[in-house]
Amino acid sequence: MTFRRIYLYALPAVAVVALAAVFAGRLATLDDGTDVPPSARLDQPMPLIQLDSLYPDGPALDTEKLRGAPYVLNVWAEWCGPCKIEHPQLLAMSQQGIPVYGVNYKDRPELARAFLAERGDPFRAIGADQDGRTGIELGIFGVPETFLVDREGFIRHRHAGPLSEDDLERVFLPFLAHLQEPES
Amino acid sequence: MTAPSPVIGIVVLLPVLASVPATAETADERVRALAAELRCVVCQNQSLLDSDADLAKDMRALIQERVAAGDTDEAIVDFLVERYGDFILLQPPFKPATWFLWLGPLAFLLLALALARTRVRRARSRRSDPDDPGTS
Repeated sequence: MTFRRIYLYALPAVAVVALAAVFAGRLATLDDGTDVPPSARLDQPMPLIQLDSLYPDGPALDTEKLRGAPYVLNVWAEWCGPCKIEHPQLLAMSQQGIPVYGVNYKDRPELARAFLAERGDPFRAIGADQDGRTGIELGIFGVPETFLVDREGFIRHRHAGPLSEDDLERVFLPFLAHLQEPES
Repeated sequence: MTAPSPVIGIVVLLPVLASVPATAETADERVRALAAELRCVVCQNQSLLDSDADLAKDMRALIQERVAAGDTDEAIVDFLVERYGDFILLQPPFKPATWFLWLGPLAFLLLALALARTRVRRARSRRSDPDDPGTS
């Protein structure tokens, strides 16, 4: 009798502790420490993006033509502070020969071009997303966001927020090396 | 001949009256209703309707275009869910992953009622115990 009563009174306490454990677990596994949920586009095909180049005479961005080899797609803007912080990481990838493509999100083209002229242009092709529809197409929460796409054109990783050197070394480069492994 | 009963008139008219608000809903009202049930992904606890964020404005414009193009509400919501996941819905959908969320409170209420019932019964049976001098 007394044992049963203790058991009943302990029930709410046990429930609270169990819930706290569930919440703590979910908090700890939130990807890359941002408050952004996992991309709905993860493990889905890269949507078709066809954008005119940021440059009057530059190559257009067409994701249909990028199939066959893994690549990096970075969404950024000149007006975005964190984009300045991650820029050296994009340059580092491009200097290593990694194909990096860009979507310039709702920017003034002349400012974006000046930004790249001053700091270096890591992009093999950079599309100008004037109206922000490509951003919505990719399901972005803000800029910058960076996607890793495999050779079949599937989005395998999404990084929200600026890429740090650490993100590059620990996550991006190993992930890319894995995607670049020859098909078994 | 007696005049038709006003009750019959109301009954006949009811379906017509009920359908009026649905058909008279303007495109603008549809956009507002849709935006009110979708989350602004920038400010997260505001709806697309309430938010001043740039992305929310763009999404409202997108909804407006699709309403004007004749898309159904469902198609528009599905379009955004495909890109942003269930996260964009302010009201979570009812599916296996959210059964606990929707049914949990009801389950706890039933559990509490069942516990309360056994307690009351036990207390009653104790009171009607023949050895207990306090009861008849």
